[in-house]
Amino acid sequence: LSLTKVTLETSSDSHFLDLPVFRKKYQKSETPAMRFYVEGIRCGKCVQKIESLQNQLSDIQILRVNMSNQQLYLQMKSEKTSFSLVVTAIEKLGFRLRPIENSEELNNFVKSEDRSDIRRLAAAAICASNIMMFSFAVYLGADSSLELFFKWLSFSLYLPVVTYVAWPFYKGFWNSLMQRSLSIDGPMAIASSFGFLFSTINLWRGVGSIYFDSLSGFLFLILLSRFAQKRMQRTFLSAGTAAPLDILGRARKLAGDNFIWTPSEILNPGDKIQAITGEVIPVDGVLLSARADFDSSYLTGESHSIVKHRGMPVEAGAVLLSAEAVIDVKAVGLQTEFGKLIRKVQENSTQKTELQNLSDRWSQILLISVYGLAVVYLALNWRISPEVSVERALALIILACPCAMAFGTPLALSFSMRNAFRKGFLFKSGDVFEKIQKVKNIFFDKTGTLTGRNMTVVATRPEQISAELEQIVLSLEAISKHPIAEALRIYFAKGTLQTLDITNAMEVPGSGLLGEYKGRHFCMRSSEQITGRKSVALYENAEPLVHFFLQDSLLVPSRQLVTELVNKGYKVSVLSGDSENEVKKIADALEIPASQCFARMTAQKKSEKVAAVPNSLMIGDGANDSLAFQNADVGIAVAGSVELALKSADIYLLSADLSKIAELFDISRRALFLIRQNLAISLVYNSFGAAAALMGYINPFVAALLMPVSSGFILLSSWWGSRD
Amino acid sequence: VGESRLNILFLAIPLAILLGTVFAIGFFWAVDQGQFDDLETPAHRILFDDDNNDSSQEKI
Repeated sequence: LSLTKVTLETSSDSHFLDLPVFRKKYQKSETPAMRFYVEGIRCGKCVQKIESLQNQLSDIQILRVNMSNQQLYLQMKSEKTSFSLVVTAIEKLGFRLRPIENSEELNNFVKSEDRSDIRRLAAAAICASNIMMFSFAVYLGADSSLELFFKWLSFSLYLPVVTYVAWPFYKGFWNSLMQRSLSIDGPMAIASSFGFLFSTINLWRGVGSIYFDSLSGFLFLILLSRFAQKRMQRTFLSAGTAAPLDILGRARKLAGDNFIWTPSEILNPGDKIQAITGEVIPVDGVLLSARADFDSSYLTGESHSIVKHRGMPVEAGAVLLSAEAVIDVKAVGLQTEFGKLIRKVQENSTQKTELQNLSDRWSQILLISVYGLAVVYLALNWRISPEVSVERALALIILACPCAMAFGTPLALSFSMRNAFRKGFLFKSGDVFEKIQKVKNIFFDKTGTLTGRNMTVVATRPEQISAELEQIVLSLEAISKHPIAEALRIYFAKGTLQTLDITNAMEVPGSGLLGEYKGRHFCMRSSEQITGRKSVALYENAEPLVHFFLQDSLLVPSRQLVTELVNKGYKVSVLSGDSENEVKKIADALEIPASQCFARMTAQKKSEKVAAVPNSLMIGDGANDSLAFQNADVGIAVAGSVELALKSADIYLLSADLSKIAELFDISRRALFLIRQNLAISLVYNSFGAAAALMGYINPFVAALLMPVSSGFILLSSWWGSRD
Repeated sequence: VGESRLNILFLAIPLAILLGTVFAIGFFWAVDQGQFDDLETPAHRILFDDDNNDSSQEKI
């Protein structure tokens, strides 16, 4: 069903790791060391299993697993030792490794961001706790000379806070202003800087209150909750699920009579590669061997096999159906037609994320009203008492800042996404939940989505076939791996038949099979011209003996799903690259009116069709659907490579059971409810807090202390709302 | 008596802050050395039966 599975299973050889050209690209500067993504790490036991290899293989210098980013670091004792030996050993343990490109810049960027988060948090904790200590001494009545000393101490301890700790808030606020919007960093930036100014002036003049204690405590709490949220998101949506899987992974590069598994990214034009049945061709090239059959349904959406002769071009992404093919490489990676399609999809996908989601809009409104209220309050009360009005306005901004809102929505989203993940859906982003609820038109791709890639024999002519003919058919087909051969094997699976001795048996790619049995000449090939339907026949001396009628097999869950969706009132359509006849059969089986089934659709036509109606949902697989995924409001990929699919689609269906998609509507409804519930909680809390602050019941210090209370409520509500 | 108590405070508090700064610098140094890059695995690693990995520390 899934093409990736085929490629990965057949390419477990990792000798390419020891190729100099590969090492150069992936190895860290001097030391013989590489990094890998590890798939399949669940617990400490897995870590122990992998790391204990160090005792068994003497070449290993360092072997460390990092669970938090799902990475593995492998350093060898010398340049001459073999990486592939260790990698093969680890893969035998049941973990899948993928080398990480030696991009120092990117690694350092992520690392330094993590590290500076921890540093800021530590600085905030140290300063805040010390300031708190001095101000409690003042609150408890230190004598006047000490009081002044302590206050200046607080001032100097607040200096690193207002500059270093609060820096990300200023940066975030400034960036949002540049984009003409307000961000959640705004209140923090204003509270930190204006609070500092106001308190310093008061300290200088010797009258009025100072807020170094409450401000530093407040900033510490915000940083802490952000840090926790970041880590939670990373754990739930960790690299394990998003680890790059590359469909155009590896190829057998021919070197003399032998071949060596080589990642397609280090292949060069002019290299020759070999492919065997079922493999995805990773390059654009020219066929060097004799004629071969290819399945390009992943690219074109057509379920028919395509015949290529020597010297004809072969596209990346096609699946080889014949036994073997040798291809002269012309283009690799993003230079291939397939790669260009991916790149186009990537370019478009950045525009899609600019959509503002629900909570952004809500917190914008709330932020504007809080600022407005604070300014109005200041203006009205300035004459009466500048100190009191500044104090209360500050408390208002701290208390009413929609932190709980900013914290609540991502939390609800990550809880809901984790929930959906358990049920078999991988979400690209959280704003899909909202879009799913608006869906009215649902489009299905046919081949690979509604139907499997296999065929079934639905009838024969004549209906009764002699046992001898059955045996001849099966024996002829025994050497073939073509889908039709599979279909025939399944059709005859009931009886136990022995294979006959066929002499001179051979497969003519794209044509059929030949063979002799007891001096009689047999041939299996298409009989579409005679029957007018999709069929093959057994010929003896150009005389058809028996016809087998074939049909793409409709997956059972598709019928369930389509019926359920139609009953729920969605408008369901089918888009297919196949001919009218094929599409009509499927439409009849699914009881979809013919007017809503579209045949002979190219990738371009599909995407136009989807874009023409509002609130559309596209369900499909393969690269030929990726343009349609983008033009649809929501795209669901049901098969193929995860990474590739999520570049254009919004959701990836992890299970093979299509009927699960009906659950998606329920899941997204619950997610939206949870978001609204969290928004409502923070809104109620903020309004009461704002009223209390303006009336003077809450000073900035108490406001900062109350912050975690609301976060606690949000956490509780998210957990409650997303439980099973 | 009050005088001497004040004096010791003026000595003790800067000392405490100095000590705190030393610890802060030590912590920052540890962060830079990569001590906090992986906050998850060490918690599991401590439960391993045989400690075969304690000599190797990833330093990148």
